[in-house]
Amino acid sequence: MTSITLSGVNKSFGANFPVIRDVDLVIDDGEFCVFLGPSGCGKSTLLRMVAGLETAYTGEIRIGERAVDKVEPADRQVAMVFQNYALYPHMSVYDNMAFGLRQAKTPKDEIERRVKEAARILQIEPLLDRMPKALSGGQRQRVAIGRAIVRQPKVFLFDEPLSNLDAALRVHMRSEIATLHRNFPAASMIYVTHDQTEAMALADKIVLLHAGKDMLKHGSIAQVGRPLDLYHQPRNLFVAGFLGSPTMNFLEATFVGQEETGARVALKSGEDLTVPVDGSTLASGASVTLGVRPEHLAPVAAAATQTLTRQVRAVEHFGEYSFVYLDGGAAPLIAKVPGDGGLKAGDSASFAAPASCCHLFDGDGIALPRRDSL
Amino acid sequence: MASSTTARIVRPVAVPVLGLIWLAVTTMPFLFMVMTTFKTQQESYSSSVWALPEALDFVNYRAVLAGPFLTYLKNSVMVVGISVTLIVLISAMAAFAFARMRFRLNDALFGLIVAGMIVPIHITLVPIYLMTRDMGLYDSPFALVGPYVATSLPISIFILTEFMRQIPKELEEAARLDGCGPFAIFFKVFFPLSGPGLSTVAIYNAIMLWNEFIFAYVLTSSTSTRTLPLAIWDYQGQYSSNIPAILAVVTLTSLPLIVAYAFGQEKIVKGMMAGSLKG
Amino acid sequence: MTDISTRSAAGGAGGAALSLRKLAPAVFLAPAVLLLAVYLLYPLVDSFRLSLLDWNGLGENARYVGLDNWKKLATDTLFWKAAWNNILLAVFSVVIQMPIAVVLAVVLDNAGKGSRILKILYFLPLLMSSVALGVLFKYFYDVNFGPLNALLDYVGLGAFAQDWLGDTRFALGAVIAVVCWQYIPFYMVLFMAGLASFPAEISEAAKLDGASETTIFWKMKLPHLKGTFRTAVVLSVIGALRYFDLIYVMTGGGPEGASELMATYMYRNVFSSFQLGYGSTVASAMFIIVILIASVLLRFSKRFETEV
Repeated sequence: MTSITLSGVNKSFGANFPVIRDVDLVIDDGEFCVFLGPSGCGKSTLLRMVAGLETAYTGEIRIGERAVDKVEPADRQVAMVFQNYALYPHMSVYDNMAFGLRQAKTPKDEIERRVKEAARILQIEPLLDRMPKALSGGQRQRVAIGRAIVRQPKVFLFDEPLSNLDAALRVHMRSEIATLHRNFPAASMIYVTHDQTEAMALADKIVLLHAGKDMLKHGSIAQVGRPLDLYHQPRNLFVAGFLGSPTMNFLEATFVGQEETGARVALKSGEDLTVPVDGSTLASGASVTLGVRPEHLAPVAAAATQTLTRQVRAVEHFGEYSFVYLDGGAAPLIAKVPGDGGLKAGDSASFAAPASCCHLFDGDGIALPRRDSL
Repeated sequence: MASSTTARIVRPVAVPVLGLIWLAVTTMPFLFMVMTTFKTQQESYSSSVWALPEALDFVNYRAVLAGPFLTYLKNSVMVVGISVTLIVLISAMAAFAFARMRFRLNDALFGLIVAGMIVPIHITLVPIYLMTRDMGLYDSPFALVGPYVATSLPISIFILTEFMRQIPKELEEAARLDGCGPFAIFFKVFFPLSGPGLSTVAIYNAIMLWNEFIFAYVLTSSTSTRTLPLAIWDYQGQYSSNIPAILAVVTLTSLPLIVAYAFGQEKIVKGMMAGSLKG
Repeated sequence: MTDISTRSAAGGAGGAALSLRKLAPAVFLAPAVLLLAVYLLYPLVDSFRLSLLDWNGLGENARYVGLDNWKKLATDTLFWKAAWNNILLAVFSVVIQMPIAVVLAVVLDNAGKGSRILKILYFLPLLMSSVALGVLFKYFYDVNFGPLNALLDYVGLGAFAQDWLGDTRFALGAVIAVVCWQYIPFYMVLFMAGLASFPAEISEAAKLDGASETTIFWKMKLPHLKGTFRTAVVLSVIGALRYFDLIYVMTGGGPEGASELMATYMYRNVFSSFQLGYGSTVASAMFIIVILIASVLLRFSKRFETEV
């Protein structure tokens, strides 16, 4: 029983500065759940509430069957890996890992067995006698994870564990954390990050959080789901814009009418497009936003239906793919095309916006229900 | 051009000249002191002040050490040792509360204690004298411990609070997750991690108290209970006009700190500057 | 999982720990607060109580005299002379020490290899107790056997030789000179730290802009020391107002009160004249004066800070 249930959780700093609003969430046994969101969305606060480090909140948090709201952090059977590792600088690697077990009066031989085992898993056995300051960033990160492992927790909590590492090491440690998840299938994991790549790579479930006005209006949770669900079926403009790089292109449009194949919209730049969603709730002429991801804009030889024709302002080449910056129309667009795309600045180019890849958001920024399933 | 003037004159000429002038100003009194201690009383009157002693004779030191000097030394070591230990422990605990705990009055109480740094200790002198007399501690070296610890607390708490505020809060949280209550967090994590701050506080107070005069002067009266700064005072009365002997006492009382300084100048300079560099 | 689950199974442990956490600040603060209450706060209050008494400190013959002591203090020229001397000490401490300290800091900043050893030697006076220095300088200034007069004689300035501590015109100045001698290195180190915190990139940028080292010093480094200077002034003034040991040892406040300070005057009243009540009045007045000047100084330096 390692599930985590948050019911009606609210928190504010002071009387009128809410940070967490109306969170209802279930993280299943053994699930890898990522809290993702912009800075200030309260993702770390939410994690720390599960850890027991933040106590002033309303609502209820359960770990397994047990309500833990009044339980000390050490007694929640959780272990946490901090962004800055938080290794005790005055203790050796071994003592860092053994400290919690000693506090819990675990027998000495059991401590040694667990520390050795964790060190073996993380390949830090030769480092056990070192002090933290003699370790590299990656090694410190492993020790921090080791300190979590030896506690044999029900829940692992990771607070932006990779953001202090350089890019190459980050990718490497990311895969190690995925391995860790496979090695401890029974334990649930909550992982906080602002990096969508980490979230997409690691998560069984992503919880994307609102910040600021969105949080006040819609509650903290923007969308919960599998990574690809969020990618393909964003529930609102915020989710659509947050996931994906470069971000989704948003074009202002007016609703023309509902047709057999979907909602028909007219762009400010004149084109008519059909999006396979149910727009029957909309009045004709209503303002909507069309969204299409840069990677879904495919270059085509000539303008046709469901295409956008624009002037190329600049091209950035990355070898495997290129970003094409487009001017004209009412708003600039970005297209991500394979190879060099055969385009250069000044060209006029047409791009297909396949209906199945288009998203439509109403005047409140809420996605209209899709009629196809992706 | 101004910069060439700087380059030609200021650096190569003014810097060494000024540096050496102040060196002379600083060392002259010390030179006089040490030189005189090797003179006989007769010599100090008859020969020129700046004349070298006739012989490197330790007679004055021997005379001083034959007296109760070691009793003063023992009292100083004991009083300063006990006081500094208590100061470090008590101020670290208070600093931990101020730096790390949220409670009503935290800021107000901290401000009040820090303001204690300004209070002239002389206002406490008479009441403490009366209190010590009433407690039956008058003329005991232990009478000094209370006033020494209390008057050192404001600056020590200030320094250590600043220090402990720098310790990342994640360490505290990691310790809580590892099952530490407030006391284990303090003794197992914060106290050991505050080493540099604690040593600054210890050094600063050790020097201040080693040299402390007025409480020792007022609260003790016998040779057997007094500390080193009083040794100078008492010997001065006893030897009256034997300048070399008195300066030998001055030299001997200053020696322990100068020896310590020879081993750790950087730490001692840093310790002495503590509080001022932050405030 | 054994250890963790048994611990939580131990029941209301969590609740007990929470209430312990509530109590913890009190426990951590208790020793400090207790000591400060007994040895700082209580004496402070008691001093004001004693200031209302006429008492020699012995026995039960203390007599309540109301504000008589305070009235006496108001017209006590000796006390106001002492307070004035404290102010002179404060002013001259600042005026003499700060410029020399800045110059020495700059000298050491430019002294290269020699600066470390010079700094170590300069700092030596700060390790000496005021009693040791007081005794040492009493002999240093001695009219007959003192090296200072001998030195003046030697360089042909024998006419300027004085009874430095025995002459009402020179006593206070002679003591101030010792205070400066001891504390200039302290402020020097303070200013050195200030200079060291001057960002190297800024002087590099200024050099690229064509500024000379002299310009950089006057226009950039010196203004950069403003904060340090403020700290130094506050420390030095508050220190001067509380001065006791050195003067007590060197002159005892004499001759004829020429170097009397508030603290030495208080001491004399209590422990020489056994006027505990009046001595406490002097101590309390000294406390009020120090607190007043300190808070004005701190407020002023803060306002200064926000304006700049």
